[in-house]
Amino acid sequence: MKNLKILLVDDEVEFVTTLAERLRLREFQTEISADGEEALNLFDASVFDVIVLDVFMPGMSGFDVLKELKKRSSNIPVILLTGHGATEEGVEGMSLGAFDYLMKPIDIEELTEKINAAVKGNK
Amino acid sequence: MDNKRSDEIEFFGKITAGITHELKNVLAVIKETSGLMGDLMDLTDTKSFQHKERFQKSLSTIQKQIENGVTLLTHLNKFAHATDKEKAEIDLHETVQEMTVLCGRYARLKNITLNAQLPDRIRKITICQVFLQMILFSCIEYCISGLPQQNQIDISILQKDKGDYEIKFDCSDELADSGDISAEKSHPNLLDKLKKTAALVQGEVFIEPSAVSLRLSSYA
Repeated sequence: MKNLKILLVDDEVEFVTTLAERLRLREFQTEISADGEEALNLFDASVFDVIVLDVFMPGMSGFDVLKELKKRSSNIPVILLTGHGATEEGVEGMSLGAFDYLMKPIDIEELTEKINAAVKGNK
Repeated sequence: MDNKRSDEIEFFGKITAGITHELKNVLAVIKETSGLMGDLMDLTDTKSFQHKERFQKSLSTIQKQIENGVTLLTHLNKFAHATDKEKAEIDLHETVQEMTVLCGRYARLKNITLNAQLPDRIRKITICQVFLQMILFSCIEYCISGLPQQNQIDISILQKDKGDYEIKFDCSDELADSGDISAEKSHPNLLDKLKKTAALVQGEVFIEPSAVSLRLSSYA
């Protein structure tokens, strides 16, 4: 699917900036945020198809953001990024309503597959 | 030594675990950056960049080393998190696999290969994981010390009875011609260390001419 709009949230700015560029090369539209509060503001101000959200962030964690999204009755699919080998975090995130999770460092093709699956699953 | 993990161990594990998370982030940035370089290179034709093939080969090497780094860090992270709790329910296979990877460097220094052939079946036991890691390391260290260069240590787990396990470190056949790891006088310190560490997990160690076996009992 082309031109899906993705919100990428990760406090590691170099990571999220580069990931956004790679997704744009694959014909996704992207916006980035380096913290949870800013991500929620962007979410309120715009329309996204999928949110890709890091779990470990200073201040609001990815789980906190996910809970806030649920409070807003949002059904937007969220793909969590967890530490490598941290399957427990991914499972916990899915119990909180995340669509799926990926372990960092991620595989870009796997991410695009999950984004497409998330959009199809949500429609 | 008291049969409880110490505050020092807990402290060391906590700091190490935190740093492994940071290092994974470093690798994630390198992976995405090299991935982006690859993406851009795919859009470039050979005429406009004559070193394209060489460049792509170098990127492939970087990606491969990132994967190696991630594997090592994942095992190191789990190793460090073993200090989180006094006792925990763990997968015996997974812990043996982790220690095999983490001890690989010590084996490679003597051109020895560690080969853990473990079935997928999960074997959960409740144990102080730090002490289990210590005794597994001691067994591997003992075998490496007694073996000549260019050998292999095959690591396997046998379930003897309900809750009773034997972890065997089987040294390769060439040993018969070149050495004997059961010769206590050639490893006085390591043998002593091996026995003391085994006692921490209420285990017993058996030394054969070409193998070390660790028996863990009553871990149902």
